[in-house]
Amino acid sequence: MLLKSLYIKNFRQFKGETLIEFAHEKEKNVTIILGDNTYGKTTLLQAFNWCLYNFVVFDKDSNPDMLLNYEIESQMRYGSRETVEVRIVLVHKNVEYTISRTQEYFWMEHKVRGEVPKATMSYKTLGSDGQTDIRTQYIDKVINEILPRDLSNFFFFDTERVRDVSNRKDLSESVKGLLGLTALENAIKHLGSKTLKTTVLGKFYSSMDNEGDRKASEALERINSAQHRKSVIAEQIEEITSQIAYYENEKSRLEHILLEGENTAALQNKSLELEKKIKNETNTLEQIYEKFVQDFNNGAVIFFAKPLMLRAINFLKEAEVDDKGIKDMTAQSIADIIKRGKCICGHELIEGSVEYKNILKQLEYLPPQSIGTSIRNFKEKIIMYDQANQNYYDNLKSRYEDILRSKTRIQEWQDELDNINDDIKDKEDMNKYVNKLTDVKKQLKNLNEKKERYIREDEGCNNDIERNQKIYDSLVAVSSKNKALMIYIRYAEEIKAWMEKTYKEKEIDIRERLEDKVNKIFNKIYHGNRRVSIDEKYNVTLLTTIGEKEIASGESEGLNRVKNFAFITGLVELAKEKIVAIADENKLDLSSEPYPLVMDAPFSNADARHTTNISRVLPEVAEQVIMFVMEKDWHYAEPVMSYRVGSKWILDKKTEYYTVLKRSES
Amino acid sequence: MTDIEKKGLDEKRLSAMKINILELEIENLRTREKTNEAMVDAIRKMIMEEVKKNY
Repeated sequence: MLLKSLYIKNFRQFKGETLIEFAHEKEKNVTIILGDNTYGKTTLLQAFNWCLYNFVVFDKDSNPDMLLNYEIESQMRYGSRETVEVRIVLVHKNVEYTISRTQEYFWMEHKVRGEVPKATMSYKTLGSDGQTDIRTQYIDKVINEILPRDLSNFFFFDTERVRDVSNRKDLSESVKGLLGLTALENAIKHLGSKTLKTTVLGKFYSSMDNEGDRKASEALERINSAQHRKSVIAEQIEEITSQIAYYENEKSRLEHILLEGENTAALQNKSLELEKKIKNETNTLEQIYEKFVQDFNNGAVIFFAKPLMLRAINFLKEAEVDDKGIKDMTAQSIADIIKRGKCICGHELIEGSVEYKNILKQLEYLPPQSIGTSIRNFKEKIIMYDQANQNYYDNLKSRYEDILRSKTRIQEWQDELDNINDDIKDKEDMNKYVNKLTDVKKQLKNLNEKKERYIREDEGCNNDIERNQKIYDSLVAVSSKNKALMIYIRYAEEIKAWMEKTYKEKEIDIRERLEDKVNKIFNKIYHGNRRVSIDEKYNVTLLTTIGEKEIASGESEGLNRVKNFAFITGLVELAKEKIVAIADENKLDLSSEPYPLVMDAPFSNADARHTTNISRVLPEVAEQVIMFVMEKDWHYAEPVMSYRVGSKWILDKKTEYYTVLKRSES
Repeated sequence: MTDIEKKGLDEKRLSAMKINILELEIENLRTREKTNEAMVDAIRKMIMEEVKKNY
């Protein structure tokens, strides 16, 4: 597909009629449209989107729903009508198409209103005369065949607005369509199967004369049943495969997060461990404190009386100590014994007897007659107290040392915890990702097992079909009509099998070849250590190698742009190649079609080196390049690209609502 | 003898059918002139005529 011209009428700031003819010669394939910001570059790009796909992307504050030029709109009065039109002429597979979209505006209830836009499309084979209209209901389909809408963001590339067009949705169908596999897909659909009566195979089978042949009917019934089961299984497998793909992606994503957050996870675990240790140690410290206070209270009086005791000892050093008294015996004890009349040894104490006298004699050694014994007793007690005080002191000292040690430990751990918490302050909790990953792996295991079961069941169905097909063939091949039909069926089935096989092979082949091409182009523009990966949905990711693992790398705006350029140019380059060959001597091009690249501000925010690289690569790869560029960016691109420029235009902004496009003679 | 011949089919006819069908599909993708039903009939006739041709 190559763009020949764009005609616009009253579309936004392009008041009146404007016609741009695009360069599409092999050596002069670049069209440059120069204009500064707000001059209408993006409007031109949106004109393509509106004409082809009936959508536009304008900033919210610029009244995006009103396509009619503001100056014309403001002059409209009751009864007046105005038209907005965008018309594109393009060539695709040797057919010239003219696509036009118009919208009528009219004045009603003090306001200008727009009718529903209308599209027309006609075509003519190159070199022939006369146009043939395409029926309205097929216009969108034909446009989508020429250039799938899902890929329009790539082909009509709004560099400043579209940050990453490649990771939005499943582009696989669009890419396969662009590369010519839709023809195969439709042919497979039309060939159909024996159970689908409105398809080629269904019609052949229903023409078979197998009336009255019960066994053949039963065999056919069993085949149909097995095929029905197969289609159910295929749907299940597809669903499961899609779920597996989702969980595989999720698994990679989580593993990537965990790999990146490995250090954070270790710190988070360490933090938890320290918190636990601090808590335990704080409990221990409280217990030691309690024991310290308890011990302190138990011996404090005696301990603090020690200086008094020492002074008493010194005072009593010279006192006579009589050790004849019975320890702890008092004068009152003697009085009680005498009063009782019997000694503790059992003798009767009769006044005047020897025993009586001896008992009385004891009073001489006891207070109040003598304090020697008391002093002796007192001294002995002080010695005992002194020993107890020493133990008391040692015990308290030991407890105090325990407290200090415990406090030191707590402080050290707290310091370490504070440092770790500073490091992980803004980091996510990695444990939740670990748990998610475990769940995802479990899901994957279950899904893979389920898929395996379906695959085994599918094999069983194949065996049933093969066995019953043999029975059926042998029974119905009786009449000559059936024989002829059998031959048609064999050819139809053989063609269908070849098409299905080719389609599957090409599906894989296309992605591999595209990835290869995109990487080659990417490396021409960007000289760094990154690789482009394209997944099953044709979403593009940049990978970088860390150790032995490839992980998705961060993408700056500039790098992201280079990635998207590489993807679209790779796609354009692949579209030019022959994708399917029927036999060595009979090649058939299903695609082999050039495509244009239309880009708004492709060098915006790119440095001089990238601008030069992009300028060199794009015209070489794409058959046609149309770029809307600011003067300051063109300054860098011009030396590399000017020899390719076949058509150059300048946007001349007259007012905020009126821009004129002029052909540049330079 | 090739696998195709073992099945009682002719390589040349088979290639011609593949090309004709795909060309028809490509053409209809360009213009959408034929409905699905018309395409099925056209393909069916293509196969039958190709089998009947004398090479």
